[in-house]
Amino acid sequence: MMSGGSTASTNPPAESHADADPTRWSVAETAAQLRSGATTSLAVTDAYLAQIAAEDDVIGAYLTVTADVARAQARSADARRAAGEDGPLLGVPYALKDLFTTAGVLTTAGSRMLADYVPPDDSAVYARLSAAGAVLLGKTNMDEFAMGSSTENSAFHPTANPWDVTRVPGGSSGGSTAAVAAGMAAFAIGTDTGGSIRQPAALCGVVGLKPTYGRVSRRGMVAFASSLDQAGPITRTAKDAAAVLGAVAGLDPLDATSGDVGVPDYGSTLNGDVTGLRLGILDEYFAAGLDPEVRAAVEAAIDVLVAAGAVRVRVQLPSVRYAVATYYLIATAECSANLARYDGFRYGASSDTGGVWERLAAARGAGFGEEVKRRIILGTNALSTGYFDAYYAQATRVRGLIRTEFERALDACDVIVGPTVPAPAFRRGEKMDDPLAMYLNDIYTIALNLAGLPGASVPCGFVAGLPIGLQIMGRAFDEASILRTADAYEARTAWTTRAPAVPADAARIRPPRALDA
Amino acid sequence: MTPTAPPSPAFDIDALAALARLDLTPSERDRFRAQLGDVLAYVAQLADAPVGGGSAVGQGAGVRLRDDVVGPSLPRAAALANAADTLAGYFRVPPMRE
Repeated sequence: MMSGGSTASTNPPAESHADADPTRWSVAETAAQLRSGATTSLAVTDAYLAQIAAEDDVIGAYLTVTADVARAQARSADARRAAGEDGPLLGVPYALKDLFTTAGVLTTAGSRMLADYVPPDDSAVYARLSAAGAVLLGKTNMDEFAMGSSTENSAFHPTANPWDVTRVPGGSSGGSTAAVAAGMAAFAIGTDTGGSIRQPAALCGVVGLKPTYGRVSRRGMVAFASSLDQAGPITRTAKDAAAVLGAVAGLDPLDATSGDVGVPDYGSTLNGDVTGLRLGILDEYFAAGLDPEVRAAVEAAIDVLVAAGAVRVRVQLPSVRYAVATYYLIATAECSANLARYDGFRYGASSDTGGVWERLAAARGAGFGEEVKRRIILGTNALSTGYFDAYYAQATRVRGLIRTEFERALDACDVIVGPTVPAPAFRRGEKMDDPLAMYLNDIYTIALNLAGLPGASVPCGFVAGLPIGLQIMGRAFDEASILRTADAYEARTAWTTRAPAVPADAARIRPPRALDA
Repeated sequence: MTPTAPPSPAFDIDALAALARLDLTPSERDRFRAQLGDVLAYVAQLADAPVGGGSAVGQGAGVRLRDDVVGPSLPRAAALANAADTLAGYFRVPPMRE
């Protein structure tokens, strides 16, 4: 691992990138190896399961490892290839955030409330990935019900950042990003309500894409804030993100908010050419609060794109300063409504003492963790009589303002670029007693969810040996421009070729709960 | 509608917990009272946002509904599989009114 505060913009020394090790292959490399017949999905799957067995006691990326499911899906993928079928994900092993339902496989959302919940059917995302022949290695750790920015709110155990196991991986999709960074999955799926794909992707040094609201079906995703939640890929390269997005995107008649917009062949738009591309630079994202070394790395990344032919355009989003406050009213209001479904009778944790209302409150009190309760109380307050107009209704008006400003900014440019996170990964425990400080970690990611627009984080350097990210935001349903920009940047730098070295002697976090291993 | 100034950050945590049907421990009550006061003081800045005549964006925007036709649904046994208690194909709960 490189030490010190390197913010070099191009060609850092590549770390061990052993082509012989399948767990370091990108999705595209894995598919090429499978296509050539050099290896089988079963062999690659076994290599990942061995890596999980070797490293996950220290990282804690998985809540459930589905070894039997994985081997069965790998054998099926190998049979499909033998029969002449091909596909970018056919036989490629991946990890799914533990809030996507998987029929017959535990789905906990990181909560004691759902500790024993085995869903009756598959989420749309899992169904699509299964149809594409991808191989499920397991379900990844997360902040409970996706509420958090550090994965410390998991009811089961925390997750370590593979670049420094004393630090958080970010959250709430921290298990998914840690798994991809540490070679425990070729790709992963996360969800992003206020930054939960992009922020942990930045802190773990991987690519994370939050698609446009409505681009990917939310059916079978355990709900947190339904007007903001969106599923997306976590990968090692932009090309891989394009391949995974292409597999999971598209209209789902069973999700009333999924968009009836055609899915382009994202991979074919990645030509490395950014000549004349207008990069919007937001004044508000380079203001006070941004770590100077992060700022230098992000500016160097923008210089790389400009040197390749892109042009800078200054844009403004004056109302973005209200984004965190707006988010913590809208998201908590929706959370308090969504989580009302956990009654302790139909599924989830239950109580068997007292009358119906006592049991209900007791089951919820015991089943939900502290951050979830905090947000339910906050949301209940925002929606209660006498407070509704001042809080929730005003927040929806500010949300409209933020969206209008984004649309105006994106008329003047093709993509907006800036930092994903204000600073690299913080230490575990550092912000657990200060919810507001934790919420402010999402300052650069939250506004995009309020606007419903797509955005990605791509690795753009290291600060004190820890990865950080360049955020690329775009117009509604124009993930192609974001991916093209990310791919062009990646082609001119070498950050994505570096891999963390996880110390074998580090303290155990907790072994994964094996379902069928 | 003109937004009014947000109410004082002081709020009745017990009333909110009752509304949310959520048991809190005494220590959670004390911690939340302080922490949520901080959060509410922070969100109070929204009252100053220049929303003018802008349109609100809320849940349900752009929702597209399916035709109202009967289709296959979850089998009863699957729907009941995770229930705490069942009786003759139903969820069983204590009396709602005693």
